Amino acid sequence: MVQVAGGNYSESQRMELRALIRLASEIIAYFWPMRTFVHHNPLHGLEDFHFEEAVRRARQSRGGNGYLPNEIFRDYFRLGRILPRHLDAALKPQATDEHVRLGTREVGHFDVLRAHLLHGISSPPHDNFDVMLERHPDPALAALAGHLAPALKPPPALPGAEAAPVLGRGELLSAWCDRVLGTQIVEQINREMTKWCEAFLDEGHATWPMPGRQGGFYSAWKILAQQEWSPCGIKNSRKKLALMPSHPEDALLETLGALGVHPEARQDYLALHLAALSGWAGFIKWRADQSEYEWQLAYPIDLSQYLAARLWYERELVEHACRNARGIDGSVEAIAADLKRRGEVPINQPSGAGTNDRIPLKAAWRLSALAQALEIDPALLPQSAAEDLLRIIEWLDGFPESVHGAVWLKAFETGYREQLLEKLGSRIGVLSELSSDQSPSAHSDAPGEIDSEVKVRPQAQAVFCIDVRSEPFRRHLEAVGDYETFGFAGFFAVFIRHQALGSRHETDQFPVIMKSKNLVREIPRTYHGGMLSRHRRREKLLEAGHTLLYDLKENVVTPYVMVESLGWFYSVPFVGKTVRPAWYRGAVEWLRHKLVPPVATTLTVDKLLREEVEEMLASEQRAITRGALQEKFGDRNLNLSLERLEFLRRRALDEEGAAEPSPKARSTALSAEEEAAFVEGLRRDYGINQGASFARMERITRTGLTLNEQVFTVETALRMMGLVRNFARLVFFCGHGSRSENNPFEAALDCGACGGNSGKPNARVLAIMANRSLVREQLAKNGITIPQDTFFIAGQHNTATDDVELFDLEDLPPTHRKDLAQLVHDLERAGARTAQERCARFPGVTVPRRASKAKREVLRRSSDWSEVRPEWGLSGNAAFIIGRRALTRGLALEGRVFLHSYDYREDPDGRLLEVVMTGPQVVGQWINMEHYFSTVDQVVYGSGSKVYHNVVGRLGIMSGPQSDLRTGLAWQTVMNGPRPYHEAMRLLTLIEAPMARIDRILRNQRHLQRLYDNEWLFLIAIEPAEESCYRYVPRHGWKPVKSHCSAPKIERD
Amino acid sequence: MFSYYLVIILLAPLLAGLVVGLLGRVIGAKAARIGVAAEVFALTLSLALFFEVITGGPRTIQAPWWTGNFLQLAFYIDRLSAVMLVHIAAISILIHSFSIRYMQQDRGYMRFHSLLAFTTFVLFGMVVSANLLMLLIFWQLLSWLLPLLSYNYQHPATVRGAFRTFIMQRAGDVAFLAAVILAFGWYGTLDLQQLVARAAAVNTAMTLWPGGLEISAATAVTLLIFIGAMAKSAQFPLHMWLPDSLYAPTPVHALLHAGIINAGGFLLARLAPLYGLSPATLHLVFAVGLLTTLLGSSMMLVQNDIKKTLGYSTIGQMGFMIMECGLGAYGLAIFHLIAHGLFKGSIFLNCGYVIHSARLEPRFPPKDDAAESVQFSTLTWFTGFITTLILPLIIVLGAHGIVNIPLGDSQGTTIFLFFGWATSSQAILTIYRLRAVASWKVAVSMLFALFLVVVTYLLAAEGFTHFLFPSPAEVDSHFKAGALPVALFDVLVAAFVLVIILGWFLIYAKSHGRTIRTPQWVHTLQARLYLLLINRLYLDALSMRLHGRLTAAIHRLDASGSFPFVAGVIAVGTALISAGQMTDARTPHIAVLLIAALLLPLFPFHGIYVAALTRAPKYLAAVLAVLLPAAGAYGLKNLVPELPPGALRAVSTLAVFGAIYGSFKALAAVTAPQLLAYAGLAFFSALWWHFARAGTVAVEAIAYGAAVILLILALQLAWQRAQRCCGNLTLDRMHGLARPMPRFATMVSLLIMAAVGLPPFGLFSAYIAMLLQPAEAISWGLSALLIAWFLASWYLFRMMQRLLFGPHRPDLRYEDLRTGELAGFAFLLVILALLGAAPPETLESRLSLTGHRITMEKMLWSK
Repeated sequence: MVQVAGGNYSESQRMELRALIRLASEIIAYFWPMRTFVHHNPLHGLEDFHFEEAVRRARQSRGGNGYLPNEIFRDYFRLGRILPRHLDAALKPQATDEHVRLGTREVGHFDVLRAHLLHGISSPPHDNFDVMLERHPDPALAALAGHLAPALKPPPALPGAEAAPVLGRGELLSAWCDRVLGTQIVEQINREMTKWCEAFLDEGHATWPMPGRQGGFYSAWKILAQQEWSPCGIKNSRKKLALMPSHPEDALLETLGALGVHPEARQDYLALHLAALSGWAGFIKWRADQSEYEWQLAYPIDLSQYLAARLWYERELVEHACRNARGIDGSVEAIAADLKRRGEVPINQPSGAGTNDRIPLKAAWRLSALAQALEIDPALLPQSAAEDLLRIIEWLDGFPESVHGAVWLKAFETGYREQLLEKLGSRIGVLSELSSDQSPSAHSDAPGEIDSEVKVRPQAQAVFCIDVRSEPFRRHLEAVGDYETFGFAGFFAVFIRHQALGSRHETDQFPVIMKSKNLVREIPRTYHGGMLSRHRRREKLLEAGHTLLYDLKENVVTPYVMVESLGWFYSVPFVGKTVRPAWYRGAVEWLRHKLVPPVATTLTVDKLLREEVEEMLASEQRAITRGALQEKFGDRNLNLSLERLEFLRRRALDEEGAAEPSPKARSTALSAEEEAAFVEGLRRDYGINQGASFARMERITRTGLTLNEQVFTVETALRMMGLVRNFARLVFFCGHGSRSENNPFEAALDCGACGGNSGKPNARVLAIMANRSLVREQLAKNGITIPQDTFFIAGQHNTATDDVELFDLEDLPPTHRKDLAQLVHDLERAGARTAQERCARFPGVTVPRRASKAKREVLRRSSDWSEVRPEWGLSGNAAFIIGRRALTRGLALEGRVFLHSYDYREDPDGRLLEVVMTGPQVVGQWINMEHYFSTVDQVVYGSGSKVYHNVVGRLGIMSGPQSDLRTGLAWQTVMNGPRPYHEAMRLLTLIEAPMARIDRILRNQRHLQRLYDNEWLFLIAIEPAEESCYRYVPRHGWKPVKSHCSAPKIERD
Repeated sequence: MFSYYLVIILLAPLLAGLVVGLLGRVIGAKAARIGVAAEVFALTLSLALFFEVITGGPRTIQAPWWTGNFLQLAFYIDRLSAVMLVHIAAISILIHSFSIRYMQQDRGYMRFHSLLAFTTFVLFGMVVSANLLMLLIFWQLLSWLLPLLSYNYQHPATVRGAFRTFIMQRAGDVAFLAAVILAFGWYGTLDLQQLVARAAAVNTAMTLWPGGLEISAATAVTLLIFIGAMAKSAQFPLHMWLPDSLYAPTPVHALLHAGIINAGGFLLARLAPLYGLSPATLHLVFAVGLLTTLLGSSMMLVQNDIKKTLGYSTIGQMGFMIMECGLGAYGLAIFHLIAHGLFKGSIFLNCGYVIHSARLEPRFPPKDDAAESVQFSTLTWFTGFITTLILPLIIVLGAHGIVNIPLGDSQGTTIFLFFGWATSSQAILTIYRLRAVASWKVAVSMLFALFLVVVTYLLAAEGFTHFLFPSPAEVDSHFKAGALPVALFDVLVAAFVLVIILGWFLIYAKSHGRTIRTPQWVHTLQARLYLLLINRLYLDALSMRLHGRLTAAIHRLDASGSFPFVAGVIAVGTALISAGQMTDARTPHIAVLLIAALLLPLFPFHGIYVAALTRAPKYLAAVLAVLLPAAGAYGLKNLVPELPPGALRAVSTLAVFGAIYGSFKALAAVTAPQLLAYAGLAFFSALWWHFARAGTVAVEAIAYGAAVILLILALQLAWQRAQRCCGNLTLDRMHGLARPMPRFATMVSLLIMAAVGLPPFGLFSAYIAMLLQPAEAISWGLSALLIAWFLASWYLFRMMQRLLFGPHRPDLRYEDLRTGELAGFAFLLVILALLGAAPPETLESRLSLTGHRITMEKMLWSK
């Protein structure tokens, strides 16, 4: 192979390549670090295609299944989970109305396809067809085969010459070598790339990190790989690597050229390479797009760097293999030419599959199976015309088992939709009553009109996240008391970054598709010095202990004595966590509280003005300067006047006005040199310098929200959830989080709307803002009058234990004590009932009759380190309802439905609905698709069983010591033994709003419409005026749904 | 009472394993609790034993019904065994309980739990064994369990890891077996107590090759046993299997790293008196341990994921444990292995926690440490030197003084002192760096705390040693045996001091913000070192390449037509030379011998046998596989005693060639019948060798021959059964039968286990019986047979893996064994087991043979 001299590619060629990579990378999805597990659609890049087409493409390049296995669907059918009429309806569009004669009966295309669906009449495996025949000898088969043989045409010969482009397009050269030459190149490349990715992308796990990462992935790899001893056995690797161009794009172009990949085929070729380790590539893809991610800033990487390294291995190894085995170049042309010369077929074909004598026998075998399925005597088959029989075989071949999933899935979804609509059907009548008895106040903004309504105030109002896990809790809360509940995306429209007390980092408390810079910090409430400093000191000591242990462990010499002297103490957690997990956790927490007493906290919600901040900083820095002066020159007669300090401070900051000291700022105690040195010291050692000041300024001005922002946030939130009048005395914002032990997926159980964090800060911030009188004044001007006696409180629902924790109760006025006590009591009861309901869904748990027992079980699950299912999480999600609670109140929806409160009367222009549909609904779709694909293919899209998981680089998981980064959900999260727990179906959205309004939004939001048109999402509108439902049919518009569907009958096959 | 306790302790997990494995599906999900119950029971009784041993001293229990044979069922319980019993039972209970929920709904749930129980049984058995052979038996069973514990048989990488694990373990086993043979040959006993006594009394020496290095018998035996310990305890370079085993489910790691892997340390501690006889071995043990310690923890530092980090950390810890043994600190090694077991077990089970801690405190790319250095620089170089380097030394020295450990007396203590010094130094450095101490008051209390920790630790370790080895003289003798040559020791100490001071200097300078100007080559060296460590010392690449080369060479040789011919000529030539003058050879004898060699395959006359097995139609092949060798052996029965010594020598030479040639051809075989035929040649060669050596047909040889015949037959039938269900597939297209055909898989794996010579099946005991000869020294023939044995493990295990492991094909319709077939295979296995377990007298009377039998009393040593 000729080494092309590097660096002679133009910038436009590089740009072109980058664009190509971007296109190629559509096949893989972002992967966020698991600190904030983000549910996403693994085929997000393919959403522009129809669902079935996207699935097909993904199957081609990634090899993943897009549907549940047909056996599971057949199982569902047998169990009555899929009804025959739904199946027939889904199959109808596939069938023509042709008929042929089979044995004694006339059978239609439809019958044949249906039998194929239900019985899987595929061609028998070639490998042991003989054995199958031998084991079930059937003389009729031979006769039938003889009957068919004359009519059978020989299969079309595969054209050898035209297949050359396929070599570089549908199949990697490395894969071709593996298949034909018996090498293991793909595996070798994957192993090398995993090694490098692991090392480079590590986020602080390794004590001794990969050297030279600052230069970026490609250059670090290039330098290190040169010094490696014979990577993968490539000869002269050192020289070859040294000759590689310094630009990754150039290297990639050069390599693609050397491999001879046709320019038109390059996108597909690169896509195949990206799909080979889609997890690592997905993480790189995500990281390359994060402009502010610390690790990316320090150690840059992108897909072109990754591909440049990856393809280098391929090129060298393929070259080596081709030279060794066939004495040809390792390029597409050379291989194609060689194949032509040898007359081989480059396409993958099971050896001997084409032997002709088996074909009639196999056809006979299938026909006989079909006849049995259709209850026709197989012996009668030879009586039918051979042409007819072959026609049937054609039909069967035209509907291979790989596409059955699409039909099954439709039938499956229809079944659920019918069930859900039937439940809701009883409610739609109620709705219209509700709508009519209220004046169309929505269209008027006059506050008086709203006030004039006389309504009973509920005991309290509670706002929960739309999360499917809120649904049971809300239902039970409403059942135990006179509560009104709302559903709203768990970040409550509060866009903040949050820094917890004692933590050094910030979390993004909003959906990942958005951005915000507002920082809210948790600060101690108390100024009681002793208490706080004790807390800090103890916390520091505890941290020191951890670091000490870490330092001793991660060392060459010290771990041994450490283990000998401290190892025995590990028996305490070992025994405790295994034998009595809940008890052990309680004990540890008690001890921790004894050691580090918790302090009450509040949040920095208000924003400081710029001037305020400047003044604050200045006085802080003056104090430091004063201290420094005294420390250094304490014995001299110093001038410590304000002006003097200010002068020194400004000098340290290099500000104007520091050039010439005013008379008051002069001092004779220091010589000019001493002073200069002192100022330099201030800059260096005490952090009084421009950079540090600026950073602090920035940070402080970023903290909190302005009054306007606060008013806007509260108003948006209240309006969107439809809570604008009739406020109760207590309004409760309830975020959610989940606590589990030893669970790498814990972030997946937290609030997705809060970017995979707990929703606690958002609820607290919203409550604090809504309680502010200034905010309420402004809100009243905007038409939302909150009564004086309404108080907002914040809380968090622990979805693992169904406990609810309340925050900032210090602010609660004493007048509300009774209301609060009642709320706390009812939350407890509702939690216990929810736990009881959930217990019924866990495998191997007998449903406890007493709620307290259920609580004990869920608490154990949450604290047990061996529990692989602390809770089911969002598994089971299937529908998204946007509308008033009246629509769903009292319905048992089994925790499968996202509930977003929306009152169409409060949103005449549809602006709020648009936000709901583009924000929360899309997040819901991501969650749904993550669960869908993790269920249908646990190897490619899911992350397999938890028992093999291995946390890598503090960012993700692998299976075992070396594998691709596993991106989806675990087997234990979506499966219940051999059957799926999560019923894999696409999300169905129901919106209670006028169709015209929805139509308008769809027209504005092309992306949304595409999702519906391509059937990634289904949409049903509940038209409030007509009490009826309409289904959105792609490219056809709205179609009424027959609301009076008959009760589902369980039919057995 | 005592012996009943012991029997129950052993039987409880064994029965639990059987019940869970066989009846698990019937009982349902609760079945896993049976294992926990059994182990709780075992733990209770272990504690009872423990107290009895403390009060009553060590005991030996001999199975009364089993006498005369070298294979003795005897148990020895002293404080060491009792401590290990309690430790294993406790760890096992915890891991078992953990797995109940962790493995919930997994497909192989019952298999997993029954494997856990079996492992517990084997570990129990190992720690209470009273003789070397029993130790070997349990040692080998553990080798078999390790690849099975990899558990995920469908996953190709797991399967490869399992293979590597097994092969490395087998290498250790073969060395162990050689040690057993030698020990018996020299000392005529395998009972541990007697062995030590006799070894101390006699000082035999042997030369490795004529005129070569002379080593004492004790050194040879202990060295070979140490190789076995190296394999189990992942010592460099036999550590390579450990990282590959990380594909298994998490609880397996916990069990492996807390319970199984420290078997090496136990073995050395158990044989401490024997090792005391060979300072040379101890020095090697020390060196290997130290090297593994350093390499293991260095490789740990560069790992990027939690499981590999923990895996390499274990390698380092095991190195330290072995190093302690090498210094004679057996008590400390046991102390270490228990502490490490608890530590590593709990960390492994909790390894999902990493994401939680990453969420609490995500790390950020390191920036320049300017801020940190400001804080740290409050200590000047001098005070820093005193507080972070000298103070810890004083603390450690003071602690030694308080605990009353004389430092001058033994070198081991001095070396541990250095480790303690470095550790406390690092601790103080960290504390200062973190500025966790605000005032002098706190600093002093901190130092006091450190002092307390060190004292407690030393007291505990000292106390533990004293508990295990109550006699101080014994401990002293251990230390004395491990003492290094003075010069070497001094160099070592100097190096230690230098490294500590240099390390301190570097760390201190770095945290002072002082960048030490390093020349370019240091950076290059650093990168090289990093690459060396992240590539696991290039050992994987090296072994892979070596394997590739060897495979290619084998296949080339196999393909070349002239190779068998050349090999045959060479073999015959060598045989004739070794036979020398055969004056008294009678032609009829030679003719019968030749006919026998055609039937009972002897290289190069194996053609008929091989052809019968590979070419004959299915059932005929099975019949011939039994008839041919049986007839051959029958013909030999009367012939052998009459053969002249020259002919016997020639036969033994041919047998040695045959063993190697057969193994080689079996390695290269592509079809199962071929593989089995050549395996048969290799196995029967051992028989021939024994005939020739003994000059008679002994009962154990007959038993061995019968076992081989049965095994070849059974494997052939199994292969035919697999073909009947999956069609006429080649060995590499038919895979993954384990999942769809569990009964078949169980039977095949038991058969293979029997075939590679694992107890309790006939092949193993008969094979051992053939090799255990008084005055057997290491020879070419013996080495060849051992190598053939090792290679048999290689190809047979690989055949099993190909057939059973890997992903199964969804398009094939598998059909598991029907009850009748199952019974047939089970019957064969029972016969094999009976052949192995039955006392030799029964066989003798049945076969009415008059061969000699080795008894304990008829040994060379007593002369």
